[in-house]
Amino acid sequence: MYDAVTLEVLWNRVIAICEEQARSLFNASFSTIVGESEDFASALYDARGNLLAQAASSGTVGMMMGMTKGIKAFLRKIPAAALQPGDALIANDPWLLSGHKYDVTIASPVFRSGVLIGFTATTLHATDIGGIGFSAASRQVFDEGLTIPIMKIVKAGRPNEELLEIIRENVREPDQVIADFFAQLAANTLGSQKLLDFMSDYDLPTLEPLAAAIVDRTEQAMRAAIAALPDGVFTSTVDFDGYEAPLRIVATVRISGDEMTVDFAGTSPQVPRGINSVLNVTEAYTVHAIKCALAPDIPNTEGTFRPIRVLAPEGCLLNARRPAAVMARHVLVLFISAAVFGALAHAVPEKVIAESGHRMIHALSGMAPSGEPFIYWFLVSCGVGATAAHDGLSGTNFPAAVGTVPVEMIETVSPVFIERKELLLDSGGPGTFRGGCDQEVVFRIHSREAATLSAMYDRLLFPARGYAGGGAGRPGRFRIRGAAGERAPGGKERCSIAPGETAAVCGGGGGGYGPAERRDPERVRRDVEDGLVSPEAARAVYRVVLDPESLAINWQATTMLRAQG
Amino acid sequence: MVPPMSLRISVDTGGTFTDFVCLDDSGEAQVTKILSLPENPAAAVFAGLRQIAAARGLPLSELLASTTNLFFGTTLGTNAVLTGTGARLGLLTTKGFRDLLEMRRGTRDHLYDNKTPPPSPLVPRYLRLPITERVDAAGEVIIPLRAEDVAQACATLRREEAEAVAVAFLHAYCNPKHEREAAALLARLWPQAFLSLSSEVAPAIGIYERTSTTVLNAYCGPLMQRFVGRLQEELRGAGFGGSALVMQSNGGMISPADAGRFAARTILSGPAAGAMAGRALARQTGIDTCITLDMGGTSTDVCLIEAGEPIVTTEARLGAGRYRLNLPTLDIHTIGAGGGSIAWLDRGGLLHVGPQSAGAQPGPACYGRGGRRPTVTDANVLLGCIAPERFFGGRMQLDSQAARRAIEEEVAGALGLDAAAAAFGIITVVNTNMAAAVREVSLDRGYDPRDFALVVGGGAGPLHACAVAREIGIPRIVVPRDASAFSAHGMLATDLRHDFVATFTGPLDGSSAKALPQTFAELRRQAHAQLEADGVPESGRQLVPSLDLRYKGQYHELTVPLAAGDAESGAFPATAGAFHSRHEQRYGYAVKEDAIEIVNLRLLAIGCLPKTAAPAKAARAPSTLASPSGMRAVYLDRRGGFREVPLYDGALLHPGFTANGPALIAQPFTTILVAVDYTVQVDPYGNYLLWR
Repeated sequence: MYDAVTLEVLWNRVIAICEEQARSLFNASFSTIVGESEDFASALYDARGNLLAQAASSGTVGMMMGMTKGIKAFLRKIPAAALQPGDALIANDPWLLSGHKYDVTIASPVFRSGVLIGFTATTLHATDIGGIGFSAASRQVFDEGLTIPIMKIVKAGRPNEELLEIIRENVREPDQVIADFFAQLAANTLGSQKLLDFMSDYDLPTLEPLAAAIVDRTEQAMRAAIAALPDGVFTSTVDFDGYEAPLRIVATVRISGDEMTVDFAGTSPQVPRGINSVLNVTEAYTVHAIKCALAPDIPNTEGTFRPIRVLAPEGCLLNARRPAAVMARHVLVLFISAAVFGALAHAVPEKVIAESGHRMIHALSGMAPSGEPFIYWFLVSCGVGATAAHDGLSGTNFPAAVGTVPVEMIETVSPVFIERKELLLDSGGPGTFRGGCDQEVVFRIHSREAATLSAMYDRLLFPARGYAGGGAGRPGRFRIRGAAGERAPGGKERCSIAPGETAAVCGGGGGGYGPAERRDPERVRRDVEDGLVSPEAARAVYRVVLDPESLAINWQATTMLRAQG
Repeated sequence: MVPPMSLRISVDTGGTFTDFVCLDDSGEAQVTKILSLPENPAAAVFAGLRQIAAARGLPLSELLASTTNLFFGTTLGTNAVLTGTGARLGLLTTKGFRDLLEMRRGTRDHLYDNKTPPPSPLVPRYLRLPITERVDAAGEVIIPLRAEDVAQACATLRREEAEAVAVAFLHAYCNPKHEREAAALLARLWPQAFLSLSSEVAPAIGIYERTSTTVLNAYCGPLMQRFVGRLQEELRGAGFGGSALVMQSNGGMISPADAGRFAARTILSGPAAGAMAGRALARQTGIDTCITLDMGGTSTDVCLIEAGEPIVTTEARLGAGRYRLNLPTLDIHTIGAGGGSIAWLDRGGLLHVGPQSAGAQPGPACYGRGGRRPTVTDANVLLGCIAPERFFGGRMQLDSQAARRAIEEEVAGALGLDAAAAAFGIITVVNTNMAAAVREVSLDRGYDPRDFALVVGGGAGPLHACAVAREIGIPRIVVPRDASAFSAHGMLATDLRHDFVATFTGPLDGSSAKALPQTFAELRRQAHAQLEADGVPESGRQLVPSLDLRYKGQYHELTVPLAAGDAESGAFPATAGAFHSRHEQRYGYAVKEDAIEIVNLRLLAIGCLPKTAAPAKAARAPSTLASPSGMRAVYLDRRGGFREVPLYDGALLHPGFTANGPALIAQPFTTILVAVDYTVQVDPYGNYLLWR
C-alpha cells in the first residue's frame, strides 16, 4: 500500500506521462478534427488492461470509456503470451471500442526486461474511414466503411504493410489517415519510454499495485459521493427528433447506499439509421453525466465506473445489436446526459444542468473551384443548460469538450465561406438563471456544382427543456436559402446546396433554471442591453419593465407586474 | 576629479514587493526591496530610488543624473487582467461575428465540469459593435468598409464613456486595409481614444486568438500609457536624462511609448525578467542550458533555457478568464505553488497543496495576522528550515506555534500523522508539484531535464531547490547571490526586442524563392524603422529570421530559425533538415519524404543594450572560510526526523567556500537548504553552486 503522499506523487507522474503522450499526438496530428477540435484520447494501462490514468485535457467521453473497455478486448483476442516487444495493436470495432469506426484505437504493449508491464494507448477520430462518408444515413454498419478487427499494426517493430495497404485503398484521404496512425504510434512509444523511466525512478517492478491503489481511491470517493444522495428510484423521459420519427430515451436511476443503477428500459428500439449507440458509449455518457453532477473533481479511472451499473435492453437505441448502423451516434449522446440529469434532478436538483442545445455536425462534399473534390466537416456549437446558480454557457458544446474550428481556418482550408456566426436573440431558455444562448452559423460553399451537405442535426423539433420551472431554449433550426426562396430540410437529410445558396444552422439554446420571473431584474436589464433578450420578452416572460430609451429598470412597474403572478 | 559614475537601475514591481537593483560601472550590485503601492506604482518607484540614493549619500537628482538606463518590469498589465480593472473599451468586429470573443473556441476547459459559470468577456456584448465590411481568406475585399458604421460605433462608445477601442476584422492578418481605414476615421472623430488594431498587435491567422490579444492590448493600454507617461515626466523632472525602458513578455525591452501602445506585450513582464535572469546567470556560470524556477509567495514560474535562449510560445492564457494572448512570449509555466500555498485534503483523503494561496493578507498562519490554514511557509517553520527570528531580514516576527496549530488541525489529524510528518508531507507535495512543472517545460517538450541545471530564485525557492532537483534527477543547481531580487537582476542583462510576423502560405521549396525574400524585406524594413526610432545604431542591430513550418496537412507548426542569408536568397538548403530533426525531437518522429509547408515568416529584431559584467572575485584561502554561525534542529526526512544542522550566514561566505549538506545558509530575504547528499560552493560571482 502507498501512503497518501507517495500515491499523490506517483499518480501525478502517470497523469503527466498521459498528458505528454496526448500533447505529442495533438501537435503532430494531420487531421483537422484532432488539430482543431481535440477529438482524441490518451491513456495508460497496467499489464491486465486496468486503467492507470488518462489525459484529462482532451478527448470525448465515448473514446475514453471505449478505449478502456477496448484494451481488455485486445487482451482477450491477443493474450500477453502472443505479444512481443515492438508490437502495436489496432482496432476500430464499434462494439468493442468507442461506438463508431472513425475512432481508431492503437495500443502499444510495454515490455520491461522482456516482461509485459502495461499498455500505452491513443484513440483519434480518423479523417476518413471509407463507406458512404460521415452521415447519419447509413442503414447497417457495413455502409459505414472499413472495420479493422483487433490485429497487429506493427509486429516486432515492422509495420504490417498488408493491413496498411488495405486501409489505404479503402479511405478517401489515405495519406492523412496513415500519417495519423504513425503519429499515434509515435505518441505511444513516447509514453512507453516515459512509463519505463518512471518505473525505474521509483523502483516499481509492476504497475498493478499502483493501478489498484488509484482505482480504489477513486472508487471510494465515487461511493462516498453516491452515499451522500437520498436512496430512491427516479425516472426521466427525453424525446428527440430521431431520424424518420421522434425517439425516446427513458432513464431510471436507482440509488441504494453507495451504489447506483441506471436502467434504460423503455427506450425506443434501435433504428435502421446511423444514430444507434453501443453499450460502451451509453455507459460512457451515463457515467460522465453522473460524475459531472456528483464528483467532477475526482480523477476519471475505472474506480468511478465500479459503483454504477448501466443497463439497457439489447436491441434498443442504447444497446444496439450488430449490424446496426452507429456512425452518427454523437447525435444521441446529448440525450443520454439529459435523461440522466433529468432523473438525478429529483434527488439533487442543485447539481445538474438543464437540457442543452445540440452541437450540429455536418459533412460537406463537392467539387472545389480548383476542380479538386473535397470533403470537409465542422461543427456548430449551441447553448448549454443553466444551473441552479449560473447562466448556461453560450455557443459551447456539451457533453463532449471538443472545440469548433475557427472561421478563418475553415475559410483557408476549405471552400466554405461563412457569412455569419453570432448569438441569437431570445434563444436561451428563460429562467432565474438563463440557458446559454444559441448561435446561428450561415455559410456558402464555393463549388463548381451543387455541393452535398449531410446533416446530423437534432433538436429542430424538441427544444432543450428547462428545470425547476425554467423555460425551454429555442429549438435548433436548419434552412437553405437561395434565389428560389427558403426551404427547411430535415435534420438528418443529405441535401444538395447549389452555388450561391446559403445554409443557416443553429443547434438550439440551453434550458433555463428556476422561474423566469424570479430572475434578478438587473441581469434581465443587462441581457436586454446586450441584445440577448428582447424588451418584449423581458416584460412578458421575465416580468421586468424597462424604460424603452434608457433601459433603466422601472422598479415600481416591475414589482407590480411580478406581484400579479 | 573622479569621472561621474554611470549607473543602471532596474525596478521590478511585484504584487507585494518592488525590487531594485542598481549596478555601477564596476559591476557592483546594490539591492533594495520595498513594499509595493498598487494604487500608485510610480510613487513606489521614487521611494525606492530615494533609498538607493540615500545609501550612496546622494540627493535623488544626482543619482538620476548619473543613471544612464532605467529598466522597468511591471505587473500592471497582469494585475489589471487578474483583478478586472483594465480600461472600459469597445470592440469593432466584422458584421455577423461580434460574439467570437465570447464564444471562444466553443469548448469547456474541463470535460467533467458542468457548473463553472461562463467566463465574462473583457468587452460586454453591447460594446462589441458590428461593422459592415468583409475580406476573404485570400485578402480580397468582398464588402467594402462602411464608414457610417464606424462613425456610429464611435458615437456609441463615446456615449458609453469608453476610453479604448479594439478593432479586429476577419482576415485582417492578410489584408489590414479595413482596419486601417477604421482607425483613421476613429482617430479623426475621437483623437483621445486608445486604438488597438489586430493587424498591428497580432497579425496572424486565428480570429478568436487575434481578437483576444487585441482586446487585451486595449484593456491594458490606457493604464500602461498613463503609468509610463507619468513616470517619464516625473523622472525627467527629477533630473533623469537617460533612457527608460520597459520589460516585455518576450524577454526584451521596449520604449515606454511602445509599451503604452502595445501594452499586451508587457503583460508577463515580471516572469519574463526572471527567465532572463536565469539566462544571464547561465551565461555567467558557463551553463547554457538550464531551467529557471522562481518561487514566490503565491506562484512558481518555470522556464526552460536551451542553448542560452528561453523557449518562446504564442499560446499563453491569462487570468481566471483564461484569455488567450497570441504574442511571442517566453514559455513560462506558472503554477500555484508558493510560500503562501494552502495545504488541504480532498474527499478521498489525499493531500494537496495550492493553488489557493493565503497571500500577504491574512498570510500563512505563522504571520499571526489571522491566517488559520496551513501553508508551505508554516510547514517550513515547523520543520526548522525557516528561522522565525530571521524572516524577511529580521523585519517580521513569526509565530511558530500558530504554524504548528494550523498543520495539526487541518492536516495531521486527518492523515493520522504527527505534526512534523504532516508538514514534511506538505513540503513533499509542493515539491512534487514544482517538479511536475519542471517536467512540463522539459519532458513534455522533448527535453531531458537531467541535461539541464536548475536555477532557483525567489524568496521561497532556495529551500526547495535540492528536493525538486532530486525528484527529477537534475544533477546541478545554481542559486544566485541575490535570489530574492531575481527578476530585477534579469532586466539588467536584456536587449531591446521586437517581434514581427507575416502570414505566408506556401511550400518550402524553390517555388517561394521570389515572394518570400520580398516579404522578409518588408519585415526587415519594419524592423529597421523600429530600431531607428529606438535610437539603436546600425552596428547594434541584430535581425533573426525564422519560419513557422509544418508537414503539409498538419495542424500545428514549429518555428525553425533560418541560416544566414536564407531570408534574402529565398533558398533554404538546411531548413528542411532542421525542421525534420526538431520534429523528431519534439514528437518522436519525422517524415523525411513528406512535403513541408510554410505558415508564417517571423523576424526578431534585437537592439543591443550596454551591459556590465559582474566582477569575478578570487577564491580565498581555506583558512579564511566561514564557519557556521550556529546549529538548528531541522527535520530532513521521515526516517531521521529532526537533526542538528549547521547554519551559515550568507553575508560572511566568500568565493571558494565549500560545505557538505546538510546545511542552511541564511540570506537577508531567503534561506538555502543544502540537502544531505549535496555539496555547496560559492563561485567567483558569489552565486551558490550545488551538486550531488
